[in-house]
Amino acid sequence: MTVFGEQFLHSPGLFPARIAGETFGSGSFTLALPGGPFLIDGLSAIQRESLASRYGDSADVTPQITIVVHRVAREDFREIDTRGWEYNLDYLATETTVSLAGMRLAALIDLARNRVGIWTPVEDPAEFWGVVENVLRPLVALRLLLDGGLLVHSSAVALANRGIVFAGRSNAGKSTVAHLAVASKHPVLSDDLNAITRENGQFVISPLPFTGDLEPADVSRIAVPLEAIIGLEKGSDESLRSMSQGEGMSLLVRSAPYVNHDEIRLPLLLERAAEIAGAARRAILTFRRDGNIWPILENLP
Amino acid sequence: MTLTLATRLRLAPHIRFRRFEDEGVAVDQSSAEAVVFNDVAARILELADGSRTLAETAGVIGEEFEAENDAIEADVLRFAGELIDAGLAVAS
Repeated sequence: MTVFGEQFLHSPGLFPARIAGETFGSGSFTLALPGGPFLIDGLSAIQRESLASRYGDSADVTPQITIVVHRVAREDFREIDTRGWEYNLDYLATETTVSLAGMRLAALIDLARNRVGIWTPVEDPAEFWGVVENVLRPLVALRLLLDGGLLVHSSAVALANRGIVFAGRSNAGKSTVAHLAVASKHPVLSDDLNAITRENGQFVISPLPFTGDLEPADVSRIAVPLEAIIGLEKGSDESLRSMSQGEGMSLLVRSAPYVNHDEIRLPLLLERAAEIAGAARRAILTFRRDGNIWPILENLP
Repeated sequence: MTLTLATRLRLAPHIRFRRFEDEGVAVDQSSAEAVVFNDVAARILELADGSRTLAETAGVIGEEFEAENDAIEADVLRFAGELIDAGLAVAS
């Protein structure tokens, strides 16, 4: 059994117990995302510019969560040969906190106080936004789950203002669907992570800048009502068959990153996945990479 | 361990189970894999709390689903074996 943080930190036993330390500067940046808004504080001018280059201008909204970035020595972190390596953060949950360890980053999420500490040696603008985003992704996943929504590893497309979430196992075709949508001029909300949130008692897909192959500028920033959850399977032609609520729930649980490994929050995840699967239309889509999937989606069960 | 009708079954410690309407989903919290079960299978999992023998479980299933007890006992034994082989349940 591996010890939390040992693959990234030379001394995982010294993982910060509280949010404190030396910051890079006094700059701040506000990011209006589902699960937030988030105030990112303690930034140098270079770090702030790195976030602006990734996410656009700082938002003029009242933050709900404060993230403070602290400086630590590069020598605290292990150097990792990333050839052929799949990057997964170390994640450790308690009732009120989640600790994260990753490449040149450690983070402590204090859910009770709505505060987050990041410790990193990174200031390089090409790398810094990635450090922050590696914390934002699980943070958004946690906040959405606690607020009545869900973060789903998926592609999401708006078809005539109806939000369709496409999920499935690795290589099932999520990115392919996103590229087919772009080619067909259908708005894509994200080809990697989508936020299902609750507005006025209805589930909606809210835009997130967490993309895979697509750039944040290529995706739609308009929320759409959640219409359907589609499980993807590759095949030799296009076909659509219904998916039971249990299968839909199973698909959502498998596709809920970070929180589906959180033993403490798994019961809440099961409730939420059942709720969303019960509220949306559900189907399994088999399709060819070069096929035209849009007509068949007009006839969702 | 040989399964008999006197065996008691309970979910493995890393498995979470959620029942709704006519289905159930068991989630392995270490791998995040989720398995969907039909109505009868879900009911057997629901009853697998370590307090009942498989014979008692078969009795409940037979009563609730109006099936012959002999056939149900054989099915419950087989299904219990499959759950244990899949790491979803343990015998006690």
